[in-house]
Amino acid sequence: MMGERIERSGGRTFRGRRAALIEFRCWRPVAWTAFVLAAASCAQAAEPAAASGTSCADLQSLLIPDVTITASTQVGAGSFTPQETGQEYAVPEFCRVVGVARPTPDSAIGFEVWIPTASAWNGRFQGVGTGGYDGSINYRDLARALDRGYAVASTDMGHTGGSLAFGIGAPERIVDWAYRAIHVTTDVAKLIVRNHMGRWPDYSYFVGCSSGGHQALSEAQRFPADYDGIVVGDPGADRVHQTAAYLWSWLALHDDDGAPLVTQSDLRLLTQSAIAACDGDDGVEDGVIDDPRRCGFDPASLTCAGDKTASCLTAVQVDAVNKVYAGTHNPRTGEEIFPGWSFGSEAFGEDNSRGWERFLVSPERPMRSEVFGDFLFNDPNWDWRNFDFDQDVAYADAAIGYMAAVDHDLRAFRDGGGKMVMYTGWADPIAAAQDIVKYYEGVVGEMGGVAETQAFFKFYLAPGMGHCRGGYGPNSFDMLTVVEHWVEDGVAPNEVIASMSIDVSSERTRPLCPYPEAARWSGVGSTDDAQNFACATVGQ
Amino acid sequence: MTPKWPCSLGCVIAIGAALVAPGQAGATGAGTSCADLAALAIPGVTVTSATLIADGAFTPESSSPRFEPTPLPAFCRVIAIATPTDDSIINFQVWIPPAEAWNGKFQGVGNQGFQGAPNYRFMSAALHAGYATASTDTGHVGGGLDFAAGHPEKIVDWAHRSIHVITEHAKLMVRAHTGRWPAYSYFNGCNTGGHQALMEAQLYPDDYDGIIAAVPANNRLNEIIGYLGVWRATHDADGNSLLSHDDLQLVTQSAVAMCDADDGVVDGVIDDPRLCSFDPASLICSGRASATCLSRQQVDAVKRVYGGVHNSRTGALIFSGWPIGSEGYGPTTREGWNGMINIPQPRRSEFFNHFVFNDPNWDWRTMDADRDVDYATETMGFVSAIDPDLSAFRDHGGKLIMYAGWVDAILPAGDVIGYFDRVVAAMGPEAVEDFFRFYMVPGVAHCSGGPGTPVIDMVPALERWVEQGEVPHRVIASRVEDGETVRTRPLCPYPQVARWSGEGDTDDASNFTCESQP
Repeated sequence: MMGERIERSGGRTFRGRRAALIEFRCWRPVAWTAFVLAAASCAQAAEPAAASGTSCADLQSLLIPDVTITASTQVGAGSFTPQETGQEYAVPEFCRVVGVARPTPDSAIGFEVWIPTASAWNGRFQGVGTGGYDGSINYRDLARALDRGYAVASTDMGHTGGSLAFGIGAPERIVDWAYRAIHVTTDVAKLIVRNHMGRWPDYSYFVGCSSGGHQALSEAQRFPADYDGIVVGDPGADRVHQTAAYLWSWLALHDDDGAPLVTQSDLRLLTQSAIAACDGDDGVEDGVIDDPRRCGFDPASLTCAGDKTASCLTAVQVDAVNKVYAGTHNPRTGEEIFPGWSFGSEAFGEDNSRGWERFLVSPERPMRSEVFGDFLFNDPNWDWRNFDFDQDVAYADAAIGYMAAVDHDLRAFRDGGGKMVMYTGWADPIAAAQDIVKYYEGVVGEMGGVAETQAFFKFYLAPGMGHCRGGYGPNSFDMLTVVEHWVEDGVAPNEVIASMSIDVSSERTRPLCPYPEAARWSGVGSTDDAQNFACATVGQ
Repeated sequence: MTPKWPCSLGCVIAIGAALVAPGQAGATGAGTSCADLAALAIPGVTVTSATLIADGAFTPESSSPRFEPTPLPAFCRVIAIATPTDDSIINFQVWIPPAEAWNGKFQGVGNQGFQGAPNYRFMSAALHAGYATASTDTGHVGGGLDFAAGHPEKIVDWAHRSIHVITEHAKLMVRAHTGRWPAYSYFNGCNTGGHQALMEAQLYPDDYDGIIAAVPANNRLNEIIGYLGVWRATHDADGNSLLSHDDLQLVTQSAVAMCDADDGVVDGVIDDPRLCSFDPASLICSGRASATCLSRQQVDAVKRVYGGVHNSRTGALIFSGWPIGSEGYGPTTREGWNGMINIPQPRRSEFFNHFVFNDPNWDWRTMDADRDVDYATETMGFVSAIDPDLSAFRDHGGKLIMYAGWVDAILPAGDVIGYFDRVVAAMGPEAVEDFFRFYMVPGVAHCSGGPGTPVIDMVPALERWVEQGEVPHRVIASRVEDGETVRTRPLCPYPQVARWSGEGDTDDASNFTCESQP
């Protein structure tokens, strides 16, 4: 934490003698009297005083350019149910500010800022991300952050509802969704917090997973001064190519009539067989593939000798899944457009439905293919079957490449003192883990090496974890505390302990390790206890 | 924009037209009649009225202090509104003398404070002198700062766009009415007008051939932060003022008593307060408090105002201190620091409500001199005209004269000196000498007043520089009491100062020379 600092310096003096200086004496002068009182009074004066800022109700009269505050209300502690969702949240007392930002005439960026009482405030600001193409405020994360003492903000990203139709004929709204809404909301929210609390937040953090992870990387790349610390989870950052990969994988897993080529039990067979082949690679038999890249499993080994049964795959099926593992490629140049999904991501969890079934197989059309129809070709009748993985991808990169947050140059964020922690699940069926690895390695290349990158940006791969949470490996951890400790106390994270999420009957804990290291069992003690593991560089 | 002809031919013709043959070159009939100017369809401009005013028929209302309205000579009065953005409403007036009275030149005039009103005082003076002239309300009406609330484009209009826009429109109207472009264009402004003058030189270097930036409040944002710091430094914990005007007068009188003669002339004026060794601690009461002494707390407050306002964390100077001699330099309460101390809240602190935090309820007591200053600089830094690179203006052929007064209690001299020093550092002393002269005036206050020689007219010197290439050196200023000139004194280009020859009347400028200070 920043303490109260008293500094004096020279400055303009009139010749012949030392002149006194006017200065604002406290690092954080909440009471105006701190200015004229002696230094000793600063500590007293720095106690937050509720009266120093604009009252919650009066925040509605703010006249921030391009922003309308539609409501500002003090909400009592207890249960809070936003009309928008009908969902109930337990909350401490807070000031709820609801507004709309219009950075362009076409924009309508809904946002909410929730500010705890002065005594409950931890002095920090948190921006929270959203999921998918969701056009709604993330109330769940607002309530969580508020409960931990943060002033917190969320945005609907500039549209309402989960459909992509908002982008049709509205290019500025696509930009709002792609990166502007978070930045604008952050700026406005900080100012609102400043006006209500009488001082700026000491630190600002962004926390997001999936699309929220995309937003997190976008902030670090485009608006490096917005946040002191950023938590990036399972980022859908390589958005354009990822969407092409959904299309590629869908085509691979369906026949020409659009009928699925694989069933849920086929996918489960693949996961089980891959685990059986590679579980022991890391020296621990725990039902989890530690690093699918090193797994020597070959789906062709499951090819039926005779008729198709539950324990084998047809040659057509093997071909289909191999296309998904191999990833999306340019048919002309052979260049990789998007890496493949990993062994172990095919089918897991409840009814084995977590995995490819839900995202790549059962949808009637490729997931998010409207991105191309609505955002790129501006044609409601565009037929995704015609997608050209050479020229159409090139056109998409040129026309809507800004939707992706894949800039490897994070110098501005680093130079501003920013710290970032990224994590992703190896079994993630949505944001393919190998794409996140590819991004991180790109940053390592750009920033001059692993050590140079780890000085401000660490990456954790969680074996057996799904998309943002869940899965069959340890998937519960607190990266926000980790990044706060790094930002505020200068303590760089090393291993981060993950446990199984509460709905799984397992006591297992395991360290997550900063990439490229991985957790290795010491050979002694329980393999369900993190303390018997250490982070180590794993040789080929 | 004023067309720039090659001087070998065009300037001669232009000067000839302006100086030799007024009334012939611009004969009525050469241009559009005054009444028909109402039909001008300039994009972004609505002409409200265009009226020929007869000699003596119009007396401008008083729009600034110390302006005694007098009837004007005949002129064509154009009233118009410029709307460069949807949010803009820039009212302006253009006054054009009849052909026989026109000196062939245009003079744009600056404003005072945040005042949203045309500057009739300066317009009247310009019209009397034969100029076509223009002035604007800078895009808002009235002296309040709340015009900015929720209107970012109006802030830009106030900060720099209005003067530029009306300059272009006014020149076009002069062209339409007189049938020719002004041969030369000048800008003349004091205080906010000086701020506008430097904005023109920095952002719109082709607008004017010659610019007078008097007492420029160009470091506007930091100046306002400075007012806040001064207020806090001169009040106790309960918000009670530590310094009355009487206290401040005592300080000035004591300082003058000690340092008046430092320059060899006893004239009630400290020539260069930086050299004055007065220490207010010498006024600390030895026994009981009295009207002729100060408490230690008061002395500390005075010293803080001398020392300037600094960033709380880095110690970096935010705004210069106020000089010795400016504390209470005259008997009225407006003469000195009183006007920024003995007021209910810091001068211009509404700026932070309406321009920076967009919150009418924002409490200036919460202002901190680190992050709030950073935020204000990031969001509103553009209202300050502090770019030291004036090479575009120089390359245009522009000439700039700036001056400031040593006892100015509104805008401390140190800030103006600081800007000049930065220009010299950025462009080099030789380059600056070619186009930019700066005069520090002893004993002169804010645009007028003070115990020195406050009657200053830089226009003739600037015109000779622009039109005839005659480089200004000493400029004679005077002191007028009851309509009589009681003293003349040369002003000297900074860093030179006027030195008495040791012989003759010290109230006569001819007994002074400009010399470098040892």
